[in-house]
Amino acid sequence: MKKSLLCVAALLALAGCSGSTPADNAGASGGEEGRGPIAVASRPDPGGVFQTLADRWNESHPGEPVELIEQPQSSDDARAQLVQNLQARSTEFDLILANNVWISEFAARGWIAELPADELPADGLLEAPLATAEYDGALYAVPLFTDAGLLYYRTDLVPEPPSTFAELIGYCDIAAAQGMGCYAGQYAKTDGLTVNAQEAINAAGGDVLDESGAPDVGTAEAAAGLQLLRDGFDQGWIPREAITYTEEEGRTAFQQGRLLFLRNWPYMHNLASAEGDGNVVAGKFDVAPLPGIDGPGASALGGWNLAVSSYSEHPETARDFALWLLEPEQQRTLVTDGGLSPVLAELYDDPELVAQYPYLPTLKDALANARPLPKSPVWSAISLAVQDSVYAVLQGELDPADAVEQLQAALTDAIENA
Amino acid sequence: MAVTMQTAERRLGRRLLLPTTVLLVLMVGYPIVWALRLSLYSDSITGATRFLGLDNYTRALWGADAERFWSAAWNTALFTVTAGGLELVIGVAMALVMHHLGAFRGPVRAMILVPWAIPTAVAAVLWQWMLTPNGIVNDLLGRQILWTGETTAARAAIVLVDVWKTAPFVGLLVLAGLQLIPKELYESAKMDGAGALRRFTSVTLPLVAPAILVAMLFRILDLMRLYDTPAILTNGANGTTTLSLFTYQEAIDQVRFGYGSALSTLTFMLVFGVALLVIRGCGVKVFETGEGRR
Repeated sequence: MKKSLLCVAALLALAGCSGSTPADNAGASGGEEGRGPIAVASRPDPGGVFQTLADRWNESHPGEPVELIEQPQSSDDARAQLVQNLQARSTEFDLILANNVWISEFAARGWIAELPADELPADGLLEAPLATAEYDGALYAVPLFTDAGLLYYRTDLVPEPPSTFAELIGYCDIAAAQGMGCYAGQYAKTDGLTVNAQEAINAAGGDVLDESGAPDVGTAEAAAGLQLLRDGFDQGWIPREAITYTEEEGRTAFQQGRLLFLRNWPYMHNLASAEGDGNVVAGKFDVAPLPGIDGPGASALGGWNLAVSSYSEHPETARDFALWLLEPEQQRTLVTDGGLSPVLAELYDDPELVAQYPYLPTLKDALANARPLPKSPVWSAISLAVQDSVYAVLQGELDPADAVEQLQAALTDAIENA
Repeated sequence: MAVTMQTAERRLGRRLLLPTTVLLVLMVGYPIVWALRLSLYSDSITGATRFLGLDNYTRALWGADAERFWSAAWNTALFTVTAGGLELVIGVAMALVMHHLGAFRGPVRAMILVPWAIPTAVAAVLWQWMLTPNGIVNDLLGRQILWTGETTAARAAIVLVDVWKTAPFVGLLVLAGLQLIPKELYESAKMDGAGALRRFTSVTLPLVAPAILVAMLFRILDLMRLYDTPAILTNGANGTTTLSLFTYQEAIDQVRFGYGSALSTLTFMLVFGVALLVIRGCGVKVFETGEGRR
């Protein structure tokens, strides 16, 4: 009995400890209004590039040090965590590295502060990523790095990269002869499926939302796009197991030599180029723009933007740090140390960088043609609806023509119900 | 004199209960009432809400989301029945094994309990690796089953992970019940000429029934709130969206606290109803075994 009482007392003591956090020492460092130490909700940083940049800033700005706090790896989990923080008006983060599809929602909810557009570099920024940082005609973030899907292919097996799906399917005999799968993207039920579905729909000339942001998916073109992916599974040029693929499963399959073609983001180029540990494709692959139906396809635009939290106690420092990261020197470090895709156009033609990352010119073309993902404050409801309909099509449970009708209704409901 | 003593004692009792009552009202009552209130209001991006009445409930029960809600309810029921049933059978078997082991009881009990000690999320991630299309499970089976890519396989995978993890817990609860049965009962049953099977059905089962019932109740309540395993393993794809996962998607992913509260209230009422049924329905039996023991 005494023992159990002790246990309870110990538990209560623990709870008490965790309840009383050390006093907030914000403002202790003094200085101007809105300036001081800031915390950045940043991405996982295996290569340490964000830390390198933060250290560089901290050296030259001793009074306004930057602390990086990593978000969860998966984008869905990262968003859930940020949403809970922002909903509670937490001052934990001053600057938020946000997936570009979250900007509209965060801005509409008043969680991130408007930024003065005239402080951006006058020119040199890629237009498409910058557009994702805007909401309702105002600037709410600055793009830090961007992303576009690329077609990874095996140069030792395929003479010329295909520019259309018809050409790609023509190569699938090679894959069959090698006993490998032909093509795959990200088809597990995550945001990656939304991206792949949009790319297929775009390739067939359809769209998910129209220019005004209204649902426009109940079209024959959209159905044709989904039919293409469905055919892939039915005809076997997309292997059955690809229904479980996110980015990493696909990368593993490609690196183990089990896939001839893979749609994936640029991040995998470095990893697949590194020899060893079951990687059989180092030096045997290259990238090309995504294939389309009548000609080259269009990638969906990925990428991450920096937004200043509305609840930040030092928003001036947060804004300055975000703008400082747009300077050529910092953007270059993002490429050289992190393999990330910069938002400054000039770096894509830089001979030194192209020597290190031969895919940069291809990526520049892909970015020029890339289409933004649905830009809406209810992005996550839209993405969930797209995943539900498209996944059912890929599983053969729903006819593409019925699926796009159903999706149109679901998107209309999601937007009206906002 | 005796009467006043009693009243005074009762009064003291009530006063001693006060701190607990206050704590319960704060920790349990307040959130429930607040969620009920929230569930009657709309959600909007701008944060401005308006009173909706029962619209959030009708949307889930027979409105725009009826299909999703009822399929989640059906999935939850399916997991509760299959995983709960398997855990009960395997758990009882484990308890019997642990009970009858003499010297090795300690180490075996520790071994059986290892899965239960692993956090569910960690267990789900471990199994996710083992269940990939080219993972060790398919390798051992010699065939490629898409454990997270097909309805039947995905449901089976979730039941598998849950049973692997929680059958030991059921085993432990039942073992505690087994150890309370006096040895003399078995001796006298033996003297009366009862065989091993008869002793199990006539002595062990009735006397361990209360423990089994408690374990069953725990598992039913837990499984009706099943969230982490499907969230990690399948993200709700292929007929594995449970009520909790659906509620999470709406309340947290889409920041709809009003609608999310309505969904969790509905889940709460379902769980409450089932718990009541189990306690009422099976509680009688507990009482009867209690009578029989006397």
